[in-house]
Amino acid sequence: MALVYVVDDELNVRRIIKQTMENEGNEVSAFVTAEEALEAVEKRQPDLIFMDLTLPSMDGVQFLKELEDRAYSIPVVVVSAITSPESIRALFKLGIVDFLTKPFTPQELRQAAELSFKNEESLQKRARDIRRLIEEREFRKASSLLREFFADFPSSPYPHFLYALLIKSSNPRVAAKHLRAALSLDEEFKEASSELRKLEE
Amino acid sequence: MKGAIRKDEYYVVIFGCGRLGSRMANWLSTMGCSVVVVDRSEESFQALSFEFTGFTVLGDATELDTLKEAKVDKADVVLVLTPDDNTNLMVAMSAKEYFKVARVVARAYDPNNIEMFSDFGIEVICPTLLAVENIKNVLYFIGGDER
Repeated sequence: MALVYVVDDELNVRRIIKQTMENEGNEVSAFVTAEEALEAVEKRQPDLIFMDLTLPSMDGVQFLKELEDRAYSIPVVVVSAITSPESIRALFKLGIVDFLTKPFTPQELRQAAELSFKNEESLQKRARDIRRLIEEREFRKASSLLREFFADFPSSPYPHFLYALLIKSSNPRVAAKHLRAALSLDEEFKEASSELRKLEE
Repeated sequence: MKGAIRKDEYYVVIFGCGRLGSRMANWLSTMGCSVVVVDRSEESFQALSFEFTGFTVLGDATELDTLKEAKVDKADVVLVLTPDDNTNLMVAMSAKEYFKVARVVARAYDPNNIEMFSDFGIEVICPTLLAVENIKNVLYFIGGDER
């Protein structure tokens, strides 16, 4: 069961997403404004956020930037009536997982959610695989997988952390930089702070 | 994948938000279906109840862009309930032939038009014939069962 947040000022949309996601066995909380949602994120981090772009006060783009500034790496699916290619491209650059145009079908919602969960699972699995290669001293393979990992998850702290592990013995100064980058993306990343402490000693 | 759709998650597009369209939209919505109502008059959406949880699309049903905006191609069922038979035939045919919707149900006021709809595999509701049947039943009841 995943925790899903819905941020939309339209009651209909909040209800549809809540109903569909609850039918899938998820826990869903709905919010009218981005400010309310941010407050909730601070208290309890969700596994997925469905969000409209046009919101009262803080809009969807500002909300995404705010999440980034606060170093949260939460999958976000945008649901909006805005369909200009420029806006959609800009949103993907901000790291959204998927974009659904209104009206959307329950199947589209489910697929978007599955994609987000799969992305998260795939991130964890790839991180484990690369780490194993580093531990087994298969540096060339690890390096090649890491390049793709960076490209696929640019806003995740894991690629930086793993890169630091890969180069820490040959280039501790750059490794420390990457550990700091990982920590700036996730302040709570304990392994990264422990590795950084070791390097700084 | 249509086979995997749960009954309470049908995606239904309704054209016409008059007395019939709005009532159908409210009912389908309370049944848990995902409903989109299309009408060219924004005022008509006021007939939707508080329980309605679907979407509204403002537009002309005879324009292809409006059908695309309502995502007719994803619909499990399309109900064509505008007050005009010609519009209903045109929209129902587009849904059936162009967007390949499995079930298209349209309203035809004129019983002479029923065959035309049926030729395209469109299911027809004819209020005139329904009224005739009801009146017949009432008259039989008054005069005793003569059937």
